[in-house]
Amino acid sequence: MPEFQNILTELKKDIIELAKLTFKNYKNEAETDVREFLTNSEEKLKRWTQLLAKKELTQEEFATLTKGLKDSAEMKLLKQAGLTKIRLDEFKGSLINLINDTVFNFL
Amino acid sequence: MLRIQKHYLRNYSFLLKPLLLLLLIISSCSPLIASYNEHVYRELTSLKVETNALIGKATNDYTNPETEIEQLDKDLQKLHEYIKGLPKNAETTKMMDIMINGDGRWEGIKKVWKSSGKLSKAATGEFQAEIAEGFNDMLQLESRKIK
Repeated sequence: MPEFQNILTELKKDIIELAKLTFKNYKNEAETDVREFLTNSEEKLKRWTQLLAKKELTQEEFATLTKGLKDSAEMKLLKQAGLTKIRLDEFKGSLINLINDTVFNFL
Repeated sequence: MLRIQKHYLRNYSFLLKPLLLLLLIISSCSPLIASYNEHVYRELTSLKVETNALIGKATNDYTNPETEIEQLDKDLQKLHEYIKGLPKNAETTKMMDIMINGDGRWEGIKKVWKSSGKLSKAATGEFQAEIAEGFNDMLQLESRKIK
């Protein structure tokens, strides 16, 4: 019985490590993506406003470009939602391997 | 089976059962998102190039490349329908929908091009960058899907 407890404890520790590693990396990636989007949007707005002031862009073109920022934000959120699902599927795959390895190591 | 394996199986079978059950439960859960699709990836890459090339012509009158615009519309719709038909592909489907119908994406660009007759040089450059970014987001998601 103590061996059973040891293996379960080991398995639990490995699963927690796996979860931490998988989702910590993903969290960092998602944060970077959001930060990049905000910085880029600010730069774009500045540039478009300057182009509008110099009459290199028309009002209509400027309006379409700014509407595009909303489209861009939506697409990035959808991309992140998709990436979360991919991470969860990958996590499930790693979990199966981990349990498999534990079972076969034990044998 | 080796004698040593039989020995371990006999002695530790109480542990194997819950672990195998756990393994079975996890394996039986279907994936949350569609797997990588090479056709989608290839078509997205090709449409990114075609859309950008066409926007590059927007400094000319809208009526000049009208046939090309119609063809691109058709190609975009075809891929949208294909993507929509793939199970568990909600994110890519919605992204493609925004790319085609978004006010600041292809539909919005077409509208301003049509109503103005032609676009300014600065606008075509900015729109090309925006379209490329949108396609890149879709390509990044597709390429990260499990193969």
